[in-house]
Amino acid sequence: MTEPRDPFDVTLRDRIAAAESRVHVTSLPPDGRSAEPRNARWLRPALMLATAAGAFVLAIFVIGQLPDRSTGGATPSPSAGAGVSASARNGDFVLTLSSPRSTWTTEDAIEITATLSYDGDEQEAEIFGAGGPIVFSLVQLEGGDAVLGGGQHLPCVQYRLGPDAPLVRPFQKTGGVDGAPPFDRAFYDDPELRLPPGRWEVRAVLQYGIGACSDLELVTSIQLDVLEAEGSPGPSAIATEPPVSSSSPDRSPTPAPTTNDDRASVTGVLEGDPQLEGGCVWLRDQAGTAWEVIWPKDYEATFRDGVAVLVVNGEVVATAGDRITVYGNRPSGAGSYCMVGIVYGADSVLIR
Amino acid sequence: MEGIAFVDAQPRIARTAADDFTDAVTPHYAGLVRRLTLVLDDHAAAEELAQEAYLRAYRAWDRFDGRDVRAWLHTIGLRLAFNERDRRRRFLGLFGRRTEREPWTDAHDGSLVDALRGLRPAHRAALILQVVDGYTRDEVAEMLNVAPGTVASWISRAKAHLREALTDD
Repeated sequence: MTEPRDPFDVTLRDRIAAAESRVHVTSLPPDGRSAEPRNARWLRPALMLATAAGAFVLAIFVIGQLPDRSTGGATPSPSAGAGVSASARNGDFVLTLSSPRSTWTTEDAIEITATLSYDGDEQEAEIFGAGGPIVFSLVQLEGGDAVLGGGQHLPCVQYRLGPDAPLVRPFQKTGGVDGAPPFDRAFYDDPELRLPPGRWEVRAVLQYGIGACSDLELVTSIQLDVLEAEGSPGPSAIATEPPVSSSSPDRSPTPAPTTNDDRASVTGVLEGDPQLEGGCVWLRDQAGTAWEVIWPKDYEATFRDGVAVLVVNGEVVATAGDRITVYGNRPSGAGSYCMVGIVYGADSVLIR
Repeated sequence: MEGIAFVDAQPRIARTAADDFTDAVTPHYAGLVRRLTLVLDDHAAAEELAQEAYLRAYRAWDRFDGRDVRAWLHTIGLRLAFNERDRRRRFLGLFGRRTEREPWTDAHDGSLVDALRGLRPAHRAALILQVVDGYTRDEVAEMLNVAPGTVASWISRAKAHLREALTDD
């Protein structure tokens, strides 16, 4: 992974990411909309079982309601559909929690931001705090009784802020995996905040001190309504109701190759199927394992008159049945497309 | 993730491969749909392909190397996308009309969306994988199943187009 250096790339990255984030991901097809391939029928019960059995307990670090001791008067100001915010003040420090909307759906990535500002006379204020230093928690007021977060075990560190330099922190999940929805592993794996339907209280807590930690506290909260997205089975149901496409070819999956070695070369016979995914070519080794080769530059595995061939610069250098050795390795993160075997990245090719 | 401690890692009940699969892939669904929408400029097709990609991923789960599930899902989805594009092109070649597409984004950054639409989908995919996701040229080449030199060429052309198209912004 690399970070862009060119300012144009940085701008482009941010704009594309913003555009992408605005793509509305609609609900999954309702039952019966898609024809289910025959070989997908075994998948559905397996995945339903996955959700039913998916609750495993990793003991909870902190899941519990936070102590309700606000030192500054929190002033929630919700209005239906519009943004919502609340603030709490203690001396020159103001903690504000805000969300651009008070109503979200179960599919939305909910946006919540906490801002700690300083409006005193000094050019710069210095505080000590732990937990980033703002810790968030969630309490389900209606539609359930889930409680999440508030936990932190980070060291107390120094933060500086000024009249024009507030600390801004987006919502961050804290706490431990509960095993049961909504706060299961999938919830934590999701980088976005998505909540089940109901009314939720979101709290932001700042425990801080001047010169030392945890002498002072600021707490504020807002309430959000989360509505069921139309036709949505919820995030965890994506895999329990496996989405299928009617255009999916109906074929049995190839038995999984038993090897997972990082071999330096693969020798096999060139094979292919022009009907499979618009044409797939692979090498079949002596053990019967198929290898989906990512060929070096200038090589192309294709079909001529329905026969698998290997072409270099337009010239056929091997045809189906030819024995070929490729040298390279198994690339990380490369997915099988044809689903016939193991993906292998070739650096060089030897045609026998 | 900051602030989380897993104290007890003992599962209460036996987990299955399906459990692992569900846990691993579910968080990436929306992101894959968004990515495919941007690449294909077709939201409906993106949703179908994302679903198909998940089904294929499940079939191949025992062959997944376990290193980067997001990259793996995106690889499957993007390769399906290009195959779907070829299918669609053949369909249009036979029947000669373009199916109606629903708009997939609002006009928040219309000039960018228009500029992206001016790119070939493969170029668009390569550009996004490198510029947005930060994959290296070689990694993009692996994901799209093309040579690294081809990726470099695609990205170069894509950037040149976008620089020109977005000059007035």
